[in-house]
Amino acid sequence: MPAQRVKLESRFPAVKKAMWEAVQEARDDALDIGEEETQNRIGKARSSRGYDLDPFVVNQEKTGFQSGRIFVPEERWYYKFFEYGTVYIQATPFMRPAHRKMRKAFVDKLGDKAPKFIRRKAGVRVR
Amino acid sequence: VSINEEAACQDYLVSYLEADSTLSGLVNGVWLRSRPQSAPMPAIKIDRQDADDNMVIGLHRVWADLTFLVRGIVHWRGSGQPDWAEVRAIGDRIDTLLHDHEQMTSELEVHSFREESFTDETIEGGDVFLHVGGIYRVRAREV
Repeated sequence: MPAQRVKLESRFPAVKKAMWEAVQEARDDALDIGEEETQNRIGKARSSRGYDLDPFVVNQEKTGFQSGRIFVPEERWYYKFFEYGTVYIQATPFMRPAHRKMRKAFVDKLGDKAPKFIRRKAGVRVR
Repeated sequence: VSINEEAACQDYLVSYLEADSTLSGLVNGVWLRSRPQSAPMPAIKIDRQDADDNMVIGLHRVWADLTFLVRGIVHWRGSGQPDWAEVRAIGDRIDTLLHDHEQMTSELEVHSFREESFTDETIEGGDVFLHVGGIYRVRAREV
């Protein structure tokens, strides 16, 4: 019987890298969704209540390799009065709803779409 | 007939807090969202923060997941370092009533807990106001 050669190729490094990228992509999407939600909410508060607010006040920042945040710059600290309301102003929250949307988007992306993404990125074929 | 749990829940929170005799002795009213400038202090203010629905197959709404900022507010008229004792007593009572709370009314089944503490000091119209309370997660479903 002739000798057969079997070539084994490990795809583990590629899968690991793809998983890493999947989290980064989910993070990036979540940050975009969160930032957009704050713009919509602040825009709505502007038009419905007449507050002179900047819809683009919230920025996004990638922190570390896989984390991120949306935030109001420190010099615009007074936006917290709109988020939580004051004695006379009713609350028009924009950060908390955005955070909820971001969390959902992140989990959705990693939950259902991650295996496909990883297989595609890592070139893994399932037979 | 389906109800809007958020609106029903707002009503429930106002009437539940107003009905407490200890809290009534500490504040001059419970206000939802907006509070007129002429309203007497101290007061409780409820602000809606967020709402989400928890659904299962068949679009059956299991519960409405709501967050409300509930806080006691005191107008500090003294000088020097503000005294937080009065507003703390209000905040403590709010927490006693709303944290780990469950109730069944004629239209709602409700449970609530504090998700985040809230304290603040604001200057509005030259007056100093002290705030103590919390962000409460309220889950409500119609019965």
